[in-house]
Amino acid sequence: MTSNAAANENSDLHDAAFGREVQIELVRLHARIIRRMPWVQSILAACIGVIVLRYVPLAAFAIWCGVSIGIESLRAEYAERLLRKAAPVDSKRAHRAFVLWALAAGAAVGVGAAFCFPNLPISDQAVLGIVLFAMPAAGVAVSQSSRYIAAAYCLAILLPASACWMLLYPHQALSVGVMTLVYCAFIILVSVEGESLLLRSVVIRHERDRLVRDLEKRNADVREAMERAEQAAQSRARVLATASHDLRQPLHALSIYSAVLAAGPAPDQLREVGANIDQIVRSLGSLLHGLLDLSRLTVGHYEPEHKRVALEAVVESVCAEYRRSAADKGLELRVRAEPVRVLGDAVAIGRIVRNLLDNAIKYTARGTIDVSLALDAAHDAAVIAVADSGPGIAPEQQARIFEEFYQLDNPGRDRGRGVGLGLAIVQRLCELIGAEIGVESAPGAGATFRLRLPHRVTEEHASAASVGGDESAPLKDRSVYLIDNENDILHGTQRLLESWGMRTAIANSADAAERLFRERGVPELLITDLRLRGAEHGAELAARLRRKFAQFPVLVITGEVSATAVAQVDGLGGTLLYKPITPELLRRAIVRAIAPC
Amino acid sequence: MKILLVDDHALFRAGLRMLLAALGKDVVVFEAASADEALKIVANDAQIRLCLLDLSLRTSDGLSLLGALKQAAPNMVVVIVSGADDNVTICNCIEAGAMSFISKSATPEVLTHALRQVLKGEVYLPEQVALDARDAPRPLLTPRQREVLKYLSQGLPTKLIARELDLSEYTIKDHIASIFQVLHVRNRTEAVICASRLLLLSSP
Repeated sequence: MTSNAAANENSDLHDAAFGREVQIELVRLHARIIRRMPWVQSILAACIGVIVLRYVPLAAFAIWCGVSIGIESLRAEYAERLLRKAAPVDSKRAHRAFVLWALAAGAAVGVGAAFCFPNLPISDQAVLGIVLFAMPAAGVAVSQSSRYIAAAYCLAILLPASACWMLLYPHQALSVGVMTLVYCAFIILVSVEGESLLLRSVVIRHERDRLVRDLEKRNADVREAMERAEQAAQSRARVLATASHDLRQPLHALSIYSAVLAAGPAPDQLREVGANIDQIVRSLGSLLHGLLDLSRLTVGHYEPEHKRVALEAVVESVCAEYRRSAADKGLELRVRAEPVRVLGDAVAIGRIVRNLLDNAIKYTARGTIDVSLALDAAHDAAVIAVADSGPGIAPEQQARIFEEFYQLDNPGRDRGRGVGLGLAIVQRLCELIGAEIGVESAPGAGATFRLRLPHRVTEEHASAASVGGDESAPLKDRSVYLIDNENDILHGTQRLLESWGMRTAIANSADAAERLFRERGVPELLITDLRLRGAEHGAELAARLRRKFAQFPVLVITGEVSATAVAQVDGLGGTLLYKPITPELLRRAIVRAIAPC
Repeated sequence: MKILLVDDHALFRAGLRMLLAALGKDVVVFEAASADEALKIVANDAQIRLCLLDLSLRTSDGLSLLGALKQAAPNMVVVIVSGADDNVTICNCIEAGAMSFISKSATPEVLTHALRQVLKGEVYLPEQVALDARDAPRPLLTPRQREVLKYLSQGLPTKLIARELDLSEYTIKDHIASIFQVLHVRNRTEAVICASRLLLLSSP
């Protein structure tokens, strides 16, 4: 169904509902008036009694009174029940019932009059005739809301009465008949006019109510938007205040160290000064990066991707990055990931998991950290959980930990413990990619952060062209040699590459690299640091190995930005990567480097 | 000279320790990251002459710690080293018995200069307080009044000043009253700030 048709149907539905509502309104209006009819009918019967009792037997009159007032009473009772009814009223049925009641009430009067007429003298006949003709006119006022009710009442009174009159006075038959019909037609016409007038007024009232409701809703919307804006402004002000404090603290410390350097410190102190300055600059840097990330995510410059992602690969590669720092703290890092595909943003998801894992390691002194990826089939979502055995989070703090700069147990804002933006960034990213983040924790019982990702891809057999295939296929079983003189970096990178399914070998010097080439042949890719132990640097070594063995693609990693390094790597036809390098960057560079041209 | 550093920012504390070591001779530095640690160190060692105290401590308010420190070691000179450097904060600190006030936001040169002053036992207040009237005529104070003023600036209570100068409390109160009169001030804080501004304490 097109949306247009849906909209039409919607408006039809709306109209039908509106029509029913108006019908009910009109029926109820009629019912309210009908409730008073027994009294009117009683007074009328009393007045008629005064006129006719002299000529009509009391018993006959009493029977008539009973029948007509009884019918009116039953009609009023029906109306009363209808008005009290809480459940939705079937307006069509009620309307039909009222038409029948009007017919009965009218017939009781009209037929009764027809039986009276022959017994009355002419003057009383005339008075009764006037009364009878006046009653339908009053009936129009009573049954203003429906022409059918008015017509039934009017005809039920006038037809028997007129017929009787015509029989009694045949010479007047034609004119009485015509006048009766014209009168009836006129009465019905008036009631039609009345009905449409009433209908219009009811519609107008409904319109007005709707407008008022709309207006109130819009006012509420505006108020809500204003409150949101106010909150956003407050949160920005809070971020700014904290940020300025947190930026000033390291600056103060830097200025002290500058003074220390100016005062000419002892040579053995220089190392400490250097290390401390380094630490301060790092924390300043990560604070600035965090703030920039946050502002980028806030103002909506970040356009999340919507691609097929192999979640288990993302989770495993992030865990591979942190395996070492977890081990350094003596923590056990356990990963349990079942293969799940979602449509989403691999970079954002990786970033979220990284921040969660970073926090878990930072706040856990001993024990284990469990990372799990599982499917929530009931809700068709993927769930990534990061559980630690850390100190836990008190319930009143659980909502606040996602605020910018909120840190547990760190009121002094010691920047050695991070800047307090990690979870705020997680929160923003989750909003951007439509994921949910929650935490379950109790003091002393560790904390579990749970990320729920929607958009699970149901067909499990990812086609060759899918991103899921791209994620791991091109790197699987490809051989790569790593050269770096830092063993830590070598092992860390090796683990990362192996988590992508690559076959790796490592060398921490030029000699070791050459040995590798001799013993195991030429790799499909060489990754080397630019700076190596000894005179030769990475690019030169790669060039020499190429001359000696064969051509192979080269990735050169460097921490320095120098024109000569760029020129040398360019001459090699290799790719130059600047530190720090994220796993995503490295992966992309590798895929590009070994792609068949 | 034994010095106590109280600051919860470890890196800042380390920098300050190195700067003091570079500026002073035979400086022994004790470090505390919290009020409890600071009070414990002071209780253990009565020889600490100088305390550099950060106002914004993680677990407690620096100003109340200042009071506790003055009570535990009345002879120790307390100098506030703070990131907040508005006049109200400075006045509150002096009122509470701090002798000097050094702003963390000061340039390295000013920091060095301020610490040198403090190590020499002199009063240092930020420029904004000691701004006016370097060449205003110096009010005439008697040597005795000058001495009392010096102790005032160290935040000593009347009783201790009396003990130091071997005079009665009544006489000291008299001296203080005449100092207020000469300097046209109403209380001890104003007296110390005025004295510092007019360089009454830094020269003989």
